[in-house]
Order: sequence, then structure tokens, then C-alpha cells
Amino acid sequence: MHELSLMDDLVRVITEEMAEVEVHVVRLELGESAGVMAASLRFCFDVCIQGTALEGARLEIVPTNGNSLNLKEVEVA
Amino acid sequence: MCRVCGCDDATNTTHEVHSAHGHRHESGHEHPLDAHSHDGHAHAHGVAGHSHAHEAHESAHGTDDQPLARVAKKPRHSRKSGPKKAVRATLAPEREAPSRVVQLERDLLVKNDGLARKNRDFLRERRIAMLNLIGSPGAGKTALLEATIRTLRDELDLAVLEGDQATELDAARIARAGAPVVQITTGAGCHLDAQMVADSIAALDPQRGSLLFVENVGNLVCPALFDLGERAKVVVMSVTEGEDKPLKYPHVFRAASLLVLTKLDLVRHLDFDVERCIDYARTSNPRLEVICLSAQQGAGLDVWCDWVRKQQPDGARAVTL
Repeated sequence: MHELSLMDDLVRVITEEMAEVEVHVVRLELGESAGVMAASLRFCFDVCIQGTALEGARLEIVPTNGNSLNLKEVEVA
Repeated sequence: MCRVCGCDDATNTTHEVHSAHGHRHESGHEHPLDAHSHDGHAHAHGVAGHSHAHEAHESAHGTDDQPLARVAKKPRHSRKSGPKKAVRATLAPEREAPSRVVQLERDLLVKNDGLARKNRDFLRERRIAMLNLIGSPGAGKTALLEATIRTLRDELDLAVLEGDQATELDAARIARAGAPVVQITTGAGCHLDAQMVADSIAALDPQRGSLLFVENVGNLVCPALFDLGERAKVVVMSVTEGEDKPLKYPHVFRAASLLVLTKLDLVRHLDFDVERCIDYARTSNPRLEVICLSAQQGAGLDVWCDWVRKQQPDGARAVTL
């Protein structure tokens, strides 16, 4: 469940920073000990981007060591 | 599989022609330009009179002259559904401007952690010790707080933030026990975060030097991840939950400083091995302290209250002579 609030923050960060461009890919790094589920993040991404400028974008999750969840980069048009 | 678009067309070819026009899949990836979709597998045609350039592909689609099926005179894939897996593909066709990658580098857990740091600074400045109680619904968190308040209320300034999805039932219990309380109702939320706690501390306005308990939303999973700015996390688990819970939900036991094993008076009715449960908890966290008690019968409460006092060395009320 907490993935939903994390994803809500993520979508807000990107839509604020990337207001003028079309985002195609969002790339995250997810630590194995972050306590966050990749599958749940994907589910929440699809929910959270509805009706936002990110609608249609794709989420890529790169597994890493450690316990962090980082928004690495986005691909834009 | 088409190496450009990733669709698993059985002809095992590359739809090179796709790079010259738009192309969209159900999976959400798309090649820009005027894509259209049909039958789930979308296939776009930016140029009038487009035809597929290679035989293998045509055999799957039919040709423009002799289509296997036609929609508005446009060729189509014979497959009925698009690929379900996300496909790796260059998003922009080769002749388009390539995608631009923008580095953002944000730690998504940092937002909460930053707010938690602010809470910690705020509390330190006022010499308030905050304890974050985490446990399943029904573990006995509220009963433990009621017993604690009744024992310590004449000795320490106590205050409570109560977290639940709905109702103010627990706040009413805490108020009856004799401590100021603010109820946080999270609605759909499964945990408290540092922002909710900051807002509620402002509303509660606890005394300088007080001991502030946060009773998190009943949940052994999500609250473990969110630092609230507390001095310590306390995991509250009842013997009726089963001794294997520390193995099944290791994160919260790893994050906590203390395990309080509650409802000890019921253990004689249960097949519950206390020592084994503690061993399981310490496999995740060897430094975990453990206190076994019964909030209802009172056994072990003195040990818990001693532990609580140690968390608030500044808390003893000044005696005015």
C-alpha cells in the first residue's frame, strides 16, 4: 500500500519538473532492501499517471543493492 | 519477435517499416506519429499507401492487394492481441530526433526522511521523546498505552497521537485513561508518515519534556518503512498472533529497538513458544530488546515502564517546594 503514496510523490515530482515536455520513460532504481515492491510500484504507476501529463509513459525499474528508491532519469520527446 | 517494436509476431522478423511511421502497443509504448490501433495490436500508418516491405511480414498481414483482413483498407496483423510485456524499443524512430534523457536523481524515500528529520529537531529542541508503536490490529497497542498512562501519568507528562483508518474510538480510550490525544484518521492510508505526524504534533502541542507516544495504524508491514522522527520504534506483538510472525514480517523487527510481547496471560492457553519467538525476532535484529507483559493483568508492566522512563531522561517533573 505504501507504494501508492511513494508513486503519488514521484508523479508529482516529474509533472512539476517536466511540465513542458512529453515524458516517454520513467526510470527508477529500487534497492532490494527498500521495503518496496516493484510489482506494486508498477500497479500504482498505472493508477497515478491517469489524467496527468505522464499518461502513456512507461515505467522501468532497475534493481540495485541497498535500501533506497531513486528516481534516476526520464526519457522525453 | 519484431526487434523494433518488440511485438511477438510469429514471423520472427523486424518490422523495419515501423520506424517510418507511428506504432502503438497496448503495453503503453508507442512510436510517435499518427498511430491507430485495431484488434489490440495497434499498427500505424503515417503515410497513405503504405505497404509492408518484406514478404514474411506480408504473409502475416496479407498484402494490400489481397489482405487477410482489412479495416478501412489498411493491412493488419493476423494476431488478435498485442504483447502484454513491456517491450524494449527505441522510442523514437531512427529518423526522428532521438529521445532525450533527463537525469533527475531523487531519492523518493528522502521526502519523508527529510520531514522526519525536521520532526526530530523540533522534538529535540523541546526535549520531547517520541516513541512509535507499531503492530497488527488487535496486538494490544491501545491497551498497553492505557495501562502505561495509568501507571505513569502522575510522574511524566504523557501525550498520544492515535493513528487509525477510521473512527476516534482509540482517542476516546486514551482520553479516558488521562492523556491528551489527537486522533489521526488516514482514510485509505496504511501507515502514518512524517507529515501527518508533524501536523498532529502542532495540533497536540505536547509539553516540553513530555513523552509522546505515536500509535501507528494497525499494520505490521508498511509503518516499518516510514521514519516519523521518533526516538525509537517499538513493535507490539501479541502471543495470539503466532510465534512465526517475526520470520514472516522481518522488516518491522529489523527497524524496531524493542519488541513488546503482549497478552502474556493467554500464553498458557496457546501453543506459543516465547523463547522461539524471541529467537526468530533476533534473527532479523540481534540487538532487539524484548519485554513480555500482560497489560490487563499487569505482569511485566513495571519492566516496560522502566524502559519508557529511560527514553525520557528529562521527563521527571520538577518538584516545586
